Amino acid sequence: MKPGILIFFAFLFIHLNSCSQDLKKLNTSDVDKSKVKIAQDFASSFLSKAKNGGTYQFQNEAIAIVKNSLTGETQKLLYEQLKSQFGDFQSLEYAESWVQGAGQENLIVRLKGDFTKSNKKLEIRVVLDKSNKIAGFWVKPWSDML
Amino acid sequence: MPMKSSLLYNPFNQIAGFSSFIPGLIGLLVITWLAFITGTHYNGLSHIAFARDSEYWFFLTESLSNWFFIAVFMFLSGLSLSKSRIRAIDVWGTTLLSRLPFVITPMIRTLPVFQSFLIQSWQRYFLHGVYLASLIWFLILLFHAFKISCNLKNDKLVASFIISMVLAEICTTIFLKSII
Repeated sequence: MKPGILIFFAFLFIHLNSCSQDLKKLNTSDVDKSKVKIAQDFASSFLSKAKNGGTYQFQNEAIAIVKNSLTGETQKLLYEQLKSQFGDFQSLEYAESWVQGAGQENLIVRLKGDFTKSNKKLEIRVVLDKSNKIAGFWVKPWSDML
Repeated sequence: MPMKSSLLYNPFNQIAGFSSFIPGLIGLLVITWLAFITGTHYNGLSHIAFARDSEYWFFLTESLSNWFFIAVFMFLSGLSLSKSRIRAIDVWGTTLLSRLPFVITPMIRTLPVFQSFLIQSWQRYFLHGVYLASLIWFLILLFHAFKISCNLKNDKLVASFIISMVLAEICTTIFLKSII
């Protein structure tokens, strides 16, 4: 009976792992610093402009769906919600990077951000596609679990 | 031999007062330090979260409030229900010492493989399993701490233990949410 239970749990663990998306955390030495800089510059510029009452003007650094979703009006609305809950944006720092997809198509750059009303750091997540374009952008409470 | 094994779930026949308070306090500081470096939040009596997102003082506040509220409610229960003379230091010390099982999860998280991981991963299930085991161990220790330090028995003991736990959980959660 006991080996049966062990085998069951082994299958359960393997199954749960295989269900997860193709995500892999990069070692510090494997991280492309130039890509991290793209993500940091974008997030910093986006949040600083929103903080000062302006809006981020997209050029050619993001994919169409991101540009179309984050209109000036949406940016203001998002920042107001963020500000009411966590306060004004202060600063951000790099935390870690993950690659996503079988061919490692996307790079997930996780940054930690400080906000005036929050005693906890928030996650500022920027996703870059294969051509280093912004393919995703989120701000949410930090978790060590992705 | 039975004497030694009973130390794991009820050491309070041998250790109470200052002799439980000092090691308990050292244990709380060690747990807090490990929780801080690994980002293991004990944000409530029965809650755990994994996030390296706060300063040391926040983790210390979590540890102290988790212990403080339960100690206060247990002391008040003892004062109001027990016919014996209750010593505050016994309640403070034994409840502090009961928290020692919570050292295990952050200790495991010092290993690189447990530092950041996927939500659907064996690391998460393993850590929650370890936490659950340490929570059960903590509750057993806490129950004995309460029973011995407040000298309560039978229904009074069980009912006041449950009520103290519920009230402490509510107060701890509200307090910790207010400082985020």
